Amino acid sequence: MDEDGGQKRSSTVILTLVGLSVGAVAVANAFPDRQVKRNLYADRAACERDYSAAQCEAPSGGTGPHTGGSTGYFWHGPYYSSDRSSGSAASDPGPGRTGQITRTEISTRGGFGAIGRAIRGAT
Amino acid sequence: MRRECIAPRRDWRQKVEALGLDFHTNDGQPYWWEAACYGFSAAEIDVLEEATETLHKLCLEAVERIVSQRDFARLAIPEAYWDWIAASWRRGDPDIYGRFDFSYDGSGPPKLLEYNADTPTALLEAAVVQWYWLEEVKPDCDQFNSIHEKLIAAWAELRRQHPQIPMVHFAGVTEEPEDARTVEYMRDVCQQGGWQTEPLDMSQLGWNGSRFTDLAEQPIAALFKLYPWEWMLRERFGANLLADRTAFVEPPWKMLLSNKAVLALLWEMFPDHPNLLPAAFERSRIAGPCVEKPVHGREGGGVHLLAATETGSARRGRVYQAAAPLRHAHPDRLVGGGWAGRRHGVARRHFADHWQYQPLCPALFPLKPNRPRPGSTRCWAKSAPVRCARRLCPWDPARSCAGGRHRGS
Repeated sequence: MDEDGGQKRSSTVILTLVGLSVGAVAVANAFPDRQVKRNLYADRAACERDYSAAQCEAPSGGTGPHTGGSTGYFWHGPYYSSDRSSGSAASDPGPGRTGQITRTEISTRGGFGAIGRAIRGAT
Repeated sequence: MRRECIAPRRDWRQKVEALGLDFHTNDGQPYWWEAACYGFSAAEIDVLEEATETLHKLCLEAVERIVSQRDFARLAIPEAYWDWIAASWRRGDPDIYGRFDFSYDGSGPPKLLEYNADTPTALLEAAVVQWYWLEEVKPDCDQFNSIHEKLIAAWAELRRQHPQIPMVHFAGVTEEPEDARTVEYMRDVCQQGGWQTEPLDMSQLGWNGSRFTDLAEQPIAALFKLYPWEWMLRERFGANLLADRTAFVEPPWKMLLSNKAVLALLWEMFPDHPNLLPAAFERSRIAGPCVEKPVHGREGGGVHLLAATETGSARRGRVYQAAAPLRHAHPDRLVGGGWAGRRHGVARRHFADHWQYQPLCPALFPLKPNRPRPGSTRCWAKSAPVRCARRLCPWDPARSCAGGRHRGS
């Protein structure tokens, strides 16, 4: 059964992350429910009216105007906080200058992990 | 097989903590235990290896049967996910690892208690800590344990096969030390297999309307998650799984094997198999003392040992498995884990590895509180064709998942 014909133990076990206690589990805190948005634009020019060129992301599904269902055909602005009531962080790019957007994409978090956290909390 | 009492290393705590095992003691009770180890003969190791490989093959047959006969209902899996799971199986989404838990005393065949196919832990302990212990305490012995290099090889194989995937994200409940370290270790071997990686907490996964995203709002192409599928299906983002195209490790089809119902299905398919215990969905089908398990139970939760005259809860979603003697009652009987997964370079072959080996070696260890086992069943549901929605394959976006490939062993 032993296709290597001799010993069955690992010849060497080297770790590069484990035990270093850096980074790997530094994300440990439960992530609060957060919602961010980004604007979708029919073309690059429309996006750059709201944001800088560096902040505008080309369509992943090809360039050119498109108004179909997939967001992959739109130019994307940067993500910004959907909560405008409590004041925005300086790094938050905001919802854009003109508001002439085609669609808005909303990204949410906190949709996984609740059961695990509840069970861990109960033990 | 024999249990040998030995002196723990004087500084064992520091040594195992240096390897990431900082959860060696729980509530004042040792989880890692160096005052004993188990020694095996080569013949006994052959028995364990053969049992692991055999059961892995049987499990793959069971998955094929569940999918082809659409028998998901007996596993208490919501119908909305049946086609999605079947598609994962039909297109051969790769799996990395799983742990069979056996009851074994060196005489007679190892008996399967359950298969931790989705989120097995004790991985760092088995692959790393035990190996370092052997190096220091029993350097002249061998150990049935090459999990570490096989995991690296498995990830490297995926790297070669899927160069279009930029990185693998890793997620778990990072507040839990055992889970966090297991994820960290798997991320370690993944990186050594040539991947870029990024850690996340499960709660940090985002959804942008069409894809799961990381903290930079970038779509997650591949995700290793140490989080049970049955929980994910029930949570707020669960329905998004049907629309997303992330490649998951372990893949969706593995939830069929981590489900305790598979114990009853295996007994139904392979009655009297020497590595199986009688198991059924009805208590009345199991003679004598048995163990009642919830099909979605985890870490011994909801498990009850029933005397020969006890009928059990009769609740839905339960499996009954004939009782087997366990270690706490019989010190010479061991609950051990057989690891199964992909093997580098040999497509569709799987490796089997164990924690212990040869005359007087390793194993010391954890052997978590022992658990019970399940039972057998009724007839199979009428077969129905499995349809695979025409969508991109997570691990191979250039290929449609329709048709898929046969998964063998």
